[in-house]
Amino acid sequence: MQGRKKQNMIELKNVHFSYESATKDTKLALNRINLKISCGEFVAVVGANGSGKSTLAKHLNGLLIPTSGDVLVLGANTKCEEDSIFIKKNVGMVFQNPDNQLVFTIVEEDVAFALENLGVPQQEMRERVEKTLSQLNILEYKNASNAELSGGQKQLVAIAGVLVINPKFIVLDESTAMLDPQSRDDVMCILKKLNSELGIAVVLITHFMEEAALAERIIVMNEGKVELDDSPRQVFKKLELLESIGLSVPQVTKFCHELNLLGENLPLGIVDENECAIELAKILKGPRR
Amino acid sequence: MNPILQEVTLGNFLQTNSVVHKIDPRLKLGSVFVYTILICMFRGIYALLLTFVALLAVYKGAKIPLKALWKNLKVIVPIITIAAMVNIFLIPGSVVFEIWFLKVTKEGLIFTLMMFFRASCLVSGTALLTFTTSPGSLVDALEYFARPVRMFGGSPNEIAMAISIAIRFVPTLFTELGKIIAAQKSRVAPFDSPKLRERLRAYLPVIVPLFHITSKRAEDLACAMESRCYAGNNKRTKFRILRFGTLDFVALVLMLVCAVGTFWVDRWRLYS
Repeated sequence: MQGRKKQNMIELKNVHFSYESATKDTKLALNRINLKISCGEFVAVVGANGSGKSTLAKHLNGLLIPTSGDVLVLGANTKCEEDSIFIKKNVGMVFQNPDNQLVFTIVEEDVAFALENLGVPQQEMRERVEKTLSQLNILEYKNASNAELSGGQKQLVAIAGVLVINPKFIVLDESTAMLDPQSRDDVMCILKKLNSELGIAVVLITHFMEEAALAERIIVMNEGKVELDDSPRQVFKKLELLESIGLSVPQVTKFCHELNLLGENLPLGIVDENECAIELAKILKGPRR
Repeated sequence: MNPILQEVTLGNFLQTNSVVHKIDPRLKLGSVFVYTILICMFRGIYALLLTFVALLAVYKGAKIPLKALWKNLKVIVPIITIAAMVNIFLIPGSVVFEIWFLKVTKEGLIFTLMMFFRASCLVSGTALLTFTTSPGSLVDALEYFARPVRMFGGSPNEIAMAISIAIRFVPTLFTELGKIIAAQKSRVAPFDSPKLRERLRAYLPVIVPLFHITSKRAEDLACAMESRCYAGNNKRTKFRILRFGTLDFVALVLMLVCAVGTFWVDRWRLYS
């Protein structure tokens, strides 16, 4: 960790990655990725299946090491073995299937897992586990068995399991994909809260466009490359491009777009239902053509 | 939770927050070991009877309903019955009564009775351990007793981790198994075929995907564990710390008194 420049972001420089050993015509899972994700950001990563978004996620905390190029987490290179724990302490990762990432049967024991690994003293461990569980409003399940919980609750436990070590970034690899709409909303709500109140950067990998629309910034992946990297409004303006790479846009955006095709003149890239309603009201109240 | 799942996951464990539940799992595991040896050493019926009565008292103290105990005991009933039928007629000695050509002897009766109580004591004693100790604490106790493996370069920490994860995944894989069976049934897999051969063959397409899914899960879990800073080293601290307290000391003394007492009763009754 010596000589590391202090940076408060994850930086990907010219990252290439291939799952197979490199030959001339291997398909690159990641192709020249250059990205910066700063502390406190709320970023969504979207892309069709096989576009490399999960591979990208696994690079952010050093689970995968780039074939060429560098990933710097707060200045530490993921290639550097000694920094491995430092990186994982700062970049928490939550996966898709809650059943595959909970290590122990009892909620509080599972949440304490990362703390045990870091050698935190027992008394402090108890306090931190309780604090984290109450932050996520799941303190009442402290002694419950994971098998008794619903999918959404399990996913919150999984989030608690990484939140407990106070990471600067939380990466969620399609963590809401298996949840019902209500649980999805609950998880999103918690993520928003963590982002705004604790300043934790959230990297949300998803294929729900409505979820992505809640982020401050959307990164669109296509065939291992970054296709777009902009605010939701700017990204969803490019509806044709998104549809051509197998993605959709939120229903409101699509709705406004269809109206525009019928000759209305709504602003492009509306992502918010309220905003859409206001714009529609303007038209309805306005002079009839 | 699904009652069947609960049974598979937690085995016998019944949380009643009694004093017995609070005893150090290491003491419980160790004493069950000694208890088992002791039961096998008893030569007379009195000590066995005494142990059984004492055990029932502990059940009472642990607030475990006797119905739950009966569920465990009834498993051994058929075995004991068969053994009793054979022994009761075959052991020679002073005849108590005769049915046709079968002679029932006093020795035979005592032997059968002893066998019955010995088996009951063994089953209810070990069941008491699982009734009052959660799988997690049991693993902690095992980890403690596995310490000598360090001498051979093994790591009790890793052994305990492996066992805990295995316990943790039992219900998950059980649900998975149910799903696969349902999927194969919907493709008309002959699970209810009258032919044994066909029935067995129907299970092959269940086992293969189960293996596949299990290894996929293992990979995911490995990623998740690594992401949560697991490095398998010995610097780990423990969330649950076992403490041998006053309660455990009292329990230990009580158990020693009982053990010595019953043993004395056994040998004294036998030789006087």
